[in-house]
Amino acid sequence: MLFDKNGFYMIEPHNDYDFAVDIINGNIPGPKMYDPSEALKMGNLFPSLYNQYKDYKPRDLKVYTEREKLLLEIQKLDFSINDLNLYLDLNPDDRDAYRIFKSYVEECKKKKDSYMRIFGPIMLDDITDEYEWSKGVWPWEEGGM
Amino acid sequence: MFKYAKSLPYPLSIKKKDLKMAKYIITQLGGYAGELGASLRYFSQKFNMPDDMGRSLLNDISTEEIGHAEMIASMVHMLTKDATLDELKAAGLESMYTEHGKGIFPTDSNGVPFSALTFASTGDVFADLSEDMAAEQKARAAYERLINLASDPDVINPLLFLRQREIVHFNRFKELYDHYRKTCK
Repeated sequence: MLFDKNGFYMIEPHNDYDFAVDIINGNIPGPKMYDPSEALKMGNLFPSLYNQYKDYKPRDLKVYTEREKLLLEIQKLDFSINDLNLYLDLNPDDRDAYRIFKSYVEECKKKKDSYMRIFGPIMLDDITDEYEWSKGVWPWEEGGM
Repeated sequence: MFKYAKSLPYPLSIKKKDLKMAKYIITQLGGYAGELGASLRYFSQKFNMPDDMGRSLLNDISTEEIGHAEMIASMVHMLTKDATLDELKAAGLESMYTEHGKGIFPTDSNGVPFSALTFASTGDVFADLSEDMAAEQKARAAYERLINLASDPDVINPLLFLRQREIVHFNRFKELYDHYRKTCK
């Protein structure tokens, strides 16, 4: 079920992240990581690299519409995939890190597929029934994200 | 080949116009520590990296930075789009208005256009990676000045995000620099 009885997009339990939780909790060797939600908020997947500016604390990300909620879930995963990839560029033999990378990519693909079916394409090759690429809000417009 | 994704790296929702802040933030598009220069710097340097680590890291950070350039341009757009002529005058933006209307153009905060001379591609991995580390530190400092000047949380939070990316990139470039110190004699 994509939406709960109040019409809110349901964030699926992170079943696919079981392995990620081990890394997040530091049960596995390799760098500790924030979960995707915290990572986007902090701007950093890796607590060991996090550097706070003065007493500024990043605030929780707020979204209002169903489209924004689902897109935010995608942004969290896209961010984590990108930041983990920069680590993998330099540590290509870290198989634990690559396992978590793959789990995020799989989860992100599922969410992008749900998004595309309801709200239209994110990438040009996201095929919908009718041509929608040029329609709707662009990222730099209000609510575009 | 680059493919466009219809989303920003970090969600933006700026509802309050702030012309002064827009004038300052534009430097992170077109100034010496801006995202456009960052992207082009690593894009240019990647061709000369000697191994998989260097080629991939510079390629991937260059790609991330062009997304940040779009984020900065979007912030300036959101901060200025509803401004009246009187408000532009009051903020001292008559020259910017004369040259660009409300169009987005890569300049620093004084209106000096972006120049490729803000970065180098030397063909020497140690010179290039030292520049890359310095560039990330300059951008971090620039974001801290902008955060000091800002008061709207909708502006501060994206700036905190972008500042944090500079810190991650600095560390990755340093790791690559140290790797070459060990492997390239």
